[in-house]
Amino acid sequence: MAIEIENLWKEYFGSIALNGISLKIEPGKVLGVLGENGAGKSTLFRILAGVTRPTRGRVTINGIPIGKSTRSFVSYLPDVDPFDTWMSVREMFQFLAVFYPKWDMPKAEKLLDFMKVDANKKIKILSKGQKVRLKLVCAIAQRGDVILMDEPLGGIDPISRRKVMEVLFEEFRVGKQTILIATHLVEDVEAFLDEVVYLREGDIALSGSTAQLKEEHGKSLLDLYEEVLQ
Amino acid sequence: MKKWRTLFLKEIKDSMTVFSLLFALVAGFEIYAILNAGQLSGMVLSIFPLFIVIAVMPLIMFYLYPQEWKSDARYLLMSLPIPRYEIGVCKFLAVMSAGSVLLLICIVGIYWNSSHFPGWDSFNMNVEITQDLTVDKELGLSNLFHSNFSATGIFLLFSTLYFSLGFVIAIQSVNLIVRRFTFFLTILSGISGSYIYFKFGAIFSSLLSQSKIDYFSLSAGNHSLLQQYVFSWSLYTFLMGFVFLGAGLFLTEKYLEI
Repeated sequence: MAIEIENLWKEYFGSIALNGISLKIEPGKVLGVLGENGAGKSTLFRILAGVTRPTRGRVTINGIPIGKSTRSFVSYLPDVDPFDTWMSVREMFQFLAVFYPKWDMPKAEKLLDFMKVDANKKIKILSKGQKVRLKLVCAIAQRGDVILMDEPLGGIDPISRRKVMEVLFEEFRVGKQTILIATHLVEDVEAFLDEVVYLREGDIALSGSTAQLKEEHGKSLLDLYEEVLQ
Repeated sequence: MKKWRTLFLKEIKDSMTVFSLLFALVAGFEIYAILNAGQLSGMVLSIFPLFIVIAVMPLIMFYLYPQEWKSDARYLLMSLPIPRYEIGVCKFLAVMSAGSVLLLICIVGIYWNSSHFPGWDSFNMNVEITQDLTVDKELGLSNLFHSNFSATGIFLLFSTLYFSLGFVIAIQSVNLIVRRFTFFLTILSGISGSYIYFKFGAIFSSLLSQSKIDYFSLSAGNHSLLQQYVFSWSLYTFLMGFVFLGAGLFLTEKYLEI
């Protein structure tokens, strides 16, 4: 699904989180949103997920303004643990399955096996890394047409990160899902990104396709990250 | 409907510990009161849990309503493809249902005790009970059905519970959506709400009391002026509960964000 962002502003009591950015994301693309803390990455994702309202500007997914209807096909993985911790993993799956019509229970179970998380365990006793993996499973099993992953790899050990991303993209991605990933761990996701946006203090500092940027600047995305954001 | 049921059950399970403790407390009081039926201590003990329920349920709502909106769980809740007011309604229904069950336990306890308390014909704590003194004092269900809890008294209890929960949701919604001077504005909304309730309540009550409405009641006895007055206040309280609940849910739906 195509995402269109036009002149998007978000202010919090005079402090500007997003400074009138405009962006168009083609269906089926994987977009990396890179930037330092406070650059506006999470704010952008929250607006796209429909949990925060823009101060000004227009955001649509497939021409539909962000709201209740878009929330049904947007899978949102926030950078915090959003679970009710008294539930077991399986109870959480059953809860989400009621609200997301495309929820894929066999896929969720299979992915959970891969992530080595016990479905019968209460969420409150899962480790930090297991909770991160559970968030990933939930985002993928919803089979949303748009997947928003805000720091999806934080808390996962360096050795597993690449493997997790490979499995998510190569085995569990469905059709032409548009995926947005906000992360600091540029090296771990670089291979999977079609396009990149560098955000700096609420503005787009640089954007383009990964191949084009690498070719033009002769640098890896991580080196560009350091250059652009300094 | 499945979504509503799922949200409702989630809220019930979320507060199961508190509800269970309250249930045990209220049931304990009422069982003890029933075992001491016919004595003043039994009568007093059967009435006491009413005050616990009426006082504690709004406090639970006060804690429960903003709890999730303020925790990280709000990310999951707010990204669900449903209107936010539905979540608020389910929280309200969960607490209202638990409160209703507890009130019913209290009413049964009072009902039972009043039917076994010699000379008991009413007590003046807004719950009116009439007693047929010719009933024999043997223990048994037959006695239970000879006593009448007036519908007005029961209506008052439920409308008070309903109002208090709606009122709490309204002021907690202000607390959730306001980002500056939060404490001050929350307190102000509480004071304003109370002022509106009492200001219009007196007018509404006097208007209704002067009318020729044949008041609805399950009790077979005559309706006193007091009963009419209590009924009109109860009806007003119920309506205002609806207004405050609606206002709270509207604010949540329209302005709540992360």
